[in-house]
Amino acid sequence: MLEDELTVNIRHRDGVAVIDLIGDVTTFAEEKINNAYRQVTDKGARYILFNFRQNDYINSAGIAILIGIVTEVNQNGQRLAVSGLSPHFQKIFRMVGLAQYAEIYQTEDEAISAFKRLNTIN
Amino acid sequence: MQLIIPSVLGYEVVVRDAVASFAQRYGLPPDRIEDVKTVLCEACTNAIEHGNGSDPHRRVRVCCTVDEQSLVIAVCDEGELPPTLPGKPVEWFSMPYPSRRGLGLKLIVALSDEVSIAADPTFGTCIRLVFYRDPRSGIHTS
Amino acid sequence: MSEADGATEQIIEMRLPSRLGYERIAMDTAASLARRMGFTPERIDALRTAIGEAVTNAIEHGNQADAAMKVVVVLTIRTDELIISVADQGRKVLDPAQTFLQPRITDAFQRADKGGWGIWLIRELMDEVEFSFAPGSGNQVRMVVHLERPPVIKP
Repeated sequence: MLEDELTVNIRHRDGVAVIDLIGDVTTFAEEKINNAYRQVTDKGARYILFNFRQNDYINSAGIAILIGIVTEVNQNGQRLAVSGLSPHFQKIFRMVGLAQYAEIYQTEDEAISAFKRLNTIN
Repeated sequence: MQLIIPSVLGYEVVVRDAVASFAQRYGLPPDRIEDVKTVLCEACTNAIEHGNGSDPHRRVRVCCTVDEQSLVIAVCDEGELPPTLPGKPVEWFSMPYPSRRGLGLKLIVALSDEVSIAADPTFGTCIRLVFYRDPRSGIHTS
Repeated sequence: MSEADGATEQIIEMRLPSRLGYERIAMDTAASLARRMGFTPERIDALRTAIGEAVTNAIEHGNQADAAMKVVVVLTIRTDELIISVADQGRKVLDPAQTFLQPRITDAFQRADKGGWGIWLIRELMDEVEFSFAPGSGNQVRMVVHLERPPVIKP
């Protein structure tokens, strides 16, 4: 009755697979996040954005899930970015070292623009 | 879950936020959570000021339990004089100048689905507040 | 929040069942108290995360997620600091060596288990941290956040 609920949405925008993570990211989020990543990867996504919404809770189990995603992103030659994180969780991402592997943007629009610039360079 | 605070005004806000967090995870709708917050503030303020006479060495104990139908919160002080509860539906204008405590109790009764007061053998006096999970269910006492 | 006569500290105690999800309530309670005490938003976020990790550990590891077992959180309010103590009933004892690990993301990439960040986060975010075990009760972590008051400009 007191379990966390995470809702995951997949959208595509300007060649980027946007995965909305709405709610808390804890151990209960594992299956949903992994499934979403697998789904977009199976369809050939090269640029992926995790867009956090209504989030004020990411715990160390959630961090471990995201590190798992980053492991696969690195192996598959994809690019991952995150947006919508509060300043506190941006700080946590930097402390843990995730920021080196997943670029942090304030908003979805900023992330999409950055991906577009990458795309034109490549 | 259980929360114990000293009888110092100001701490009722901490209880309010703890129980609101609990109610949110239980799945009460946002406007009902606002009611829970108001009721808890009033009940805790009463317990601190009246039940415990603002004695910082006395404690207020708050217990929350849930089942499928409802969220039940008991606010207990270490005093011995339980107040008289107004009946439902609450009459707001029965006194020319209602006391602050009287107003608080009316708010509690008006906003909760069920309210009762009893002596607690281990603590003192407890006010028991019930909030139905589904606001349309349950029987309102008149 | 005024101090009582002669009392230099006040205590709030919470008892939570050992079910994941209840750590949120401990987090929100501690954050509410910290706001009242005048901590900065950054320190409040930090202690929210730290207490979340501590209570989650107590639920999952110390009490093995047995809902009947309790996690006891004691918040001690002093004029210049907040002490947060989280205790479980010690069904599984936390190895003290585990509390000094420095996880690295590059190591995590190589391992199947990407976890182990919780205790490290607590140490990084809190001003003082102490892990202990009391036979007859359980694992306990004691965290301290110092309340920094803005400097007073004297005329």
